[in-house]
Amino acid sequence: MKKLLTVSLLLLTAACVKDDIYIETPMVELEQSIFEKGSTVLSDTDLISFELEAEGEYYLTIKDEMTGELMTREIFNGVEGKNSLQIFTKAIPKGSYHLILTDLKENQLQKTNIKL
Amino acid sequence: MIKKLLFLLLIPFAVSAQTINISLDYAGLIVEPVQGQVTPVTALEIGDEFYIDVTVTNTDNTQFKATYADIWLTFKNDAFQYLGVDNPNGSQANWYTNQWPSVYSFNTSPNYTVDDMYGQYYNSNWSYVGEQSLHAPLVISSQTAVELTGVVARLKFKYKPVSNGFDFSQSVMLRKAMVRDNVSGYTFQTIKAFPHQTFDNVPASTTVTALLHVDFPETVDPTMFNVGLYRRSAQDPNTWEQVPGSSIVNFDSAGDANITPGFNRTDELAAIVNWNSQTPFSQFYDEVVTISDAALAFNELNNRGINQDEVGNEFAYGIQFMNGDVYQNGDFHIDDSYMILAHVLGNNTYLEQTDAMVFASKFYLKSDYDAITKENYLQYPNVGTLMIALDNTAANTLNFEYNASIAWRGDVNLSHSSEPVIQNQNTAKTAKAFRFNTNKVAATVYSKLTTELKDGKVVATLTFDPKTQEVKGTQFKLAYDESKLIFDEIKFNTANTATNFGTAKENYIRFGSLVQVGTEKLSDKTTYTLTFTPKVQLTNTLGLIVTSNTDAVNKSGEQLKLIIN
Repeated sequence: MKKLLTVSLLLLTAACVKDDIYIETPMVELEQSIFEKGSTVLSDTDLISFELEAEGEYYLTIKDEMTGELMTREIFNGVEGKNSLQIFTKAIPKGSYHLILTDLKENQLQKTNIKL
Repeated sequence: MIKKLLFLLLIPFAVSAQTINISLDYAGLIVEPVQGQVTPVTALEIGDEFYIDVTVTNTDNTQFKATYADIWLTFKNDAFQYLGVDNPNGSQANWYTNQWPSVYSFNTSPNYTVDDMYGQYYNSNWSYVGEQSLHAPLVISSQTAVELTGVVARLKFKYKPVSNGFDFSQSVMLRKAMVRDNVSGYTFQTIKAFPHQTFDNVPASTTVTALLHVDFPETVDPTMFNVGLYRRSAQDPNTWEQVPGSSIVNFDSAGDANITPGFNRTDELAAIVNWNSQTPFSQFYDEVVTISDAALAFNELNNRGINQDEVGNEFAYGIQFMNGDVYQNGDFHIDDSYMILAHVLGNNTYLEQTDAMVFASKFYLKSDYDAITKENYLQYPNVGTLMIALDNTAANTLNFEYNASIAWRGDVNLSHSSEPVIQNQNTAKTAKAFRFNTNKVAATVYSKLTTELKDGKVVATLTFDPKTQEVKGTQFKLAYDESKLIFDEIKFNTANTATNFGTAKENYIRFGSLVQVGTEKLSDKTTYTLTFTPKVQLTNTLGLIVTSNTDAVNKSGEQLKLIIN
């Protein structure tokens, strides 16, 4: 009888344990400079962040990875430290591009690959 | 203590031993005839649609997990049609994918082994080689940060008919890859294509087919066109109907199309070609007829000798007169030149409809096209058509190959028309007619584009450097995001005698200058300033205005290569 009660208790406990349902959820990504990531898929109005050593005017250029052709260039006022800008992709054909940060003399400071 | 020291020494080796292996593995037909069974690779046939799985293996995922991958491949698109990528992990792991035409060569870095995906990622490059290329670039990039392990993507391909003797080696090949753990910010530095870097299977059937070849020039991507087999209707001889059993197929990168299905030797057959691209036909046609065509047309009519009765001092071929005759009334006249200019400026057009290829394209059998001269061109039809008549009833065998040429209304400099091969041709004028060609040395001039936010407006500035070229005409086309910008105006700083133009249409601005007065030309002081009003709050302008296509012409009517940098 004791054994029967013990087994029954065990069974009851086991029945009441919540089943583990595994749902894979996206992992939380580390916030990094766009240039540290090496390659990123971007959509319209996405924010891109990067660090500058000094305040001043800089160029951000987008060039086609396959042909090297320039798609667009923006001149902007950067601040020392973290900068966040938006990228607008609706006018740019789908493809793989290089995003290049240069100074006003067009010396390359940083470069990465983006997919649009 | 010694054990602890040994353990500490082993840690760096453990980290550096972590390897990502990426493999390509055949995985059966997309729709298997018997569910649960996988058709053996040796049983694949032409026309079959099948999976090639991309498998990622992490030798040790206890420290770092692969959560992002950017994987580049090439495939032989003469033998394969890429149908896209399926996600075995459902919506948790979407893939960005894109392919390019097979006009690029992947230049493996000699400093790293071919299977070193990481080394190749940062040290290889692509170069444009045109029709020589056998391989089309393809990329897949993951978009969701789940762990990438096992079968992470299912590439879908279809075997296309190929000619006998086709080389199937490296049909699909892994070229370079970057893999990261985006949770910790770690980039894997040992990435190998292993165990399978390539897919090389030769299908059981490779038969010679009835082929149509169109002599597309290098400036035109044949894969943007499709073709179907049609026969004259028995009920109405003025109507053409698609041949039962035939297919409408895209041309491959060599300009070939298989027209065997439905082909016969009894019906009067024709191939009908049409535009088949997501890009509107009008956008493609904007590159066909440009300021260079207008300038050359004017040059031909202005250079008629002292008595104004000479012809052909600028045009080398009869087809140039036909393309220049945009009114298609059998008389290439000054009115045609002005109409070509009006079309380029965007003020008017000779096309009945700008997005219907039938009003712009002309097809000829190559044997006829090469027989057109400046003396006999009036004997040939000069109307828009999509049709190529096929002589299919006189032959004794099914293995037919047809060769056709393509020309465009308004394409006076033949930049996008087939190159005629004519006996005793004037080589100097031939060189001029094809001065701008991606395989020939072309004079290059430069322009610089900059966009910025200024006093609440978005301003795009284009400057111009003609180098040593005496530039008489420029043409630019910029695309802009019309959901965020309203085009205001364009200001020109050009030669006093320049005719400047600027037209806004849909989400494009076309603008440029043409100097027709004698010795005047466009200088390096030439500047174009475009102003837009934002529709939304903006803090920067990256990507709002982008280059589309460009053109420039010098005083000799020669088309120049204009690069915006």
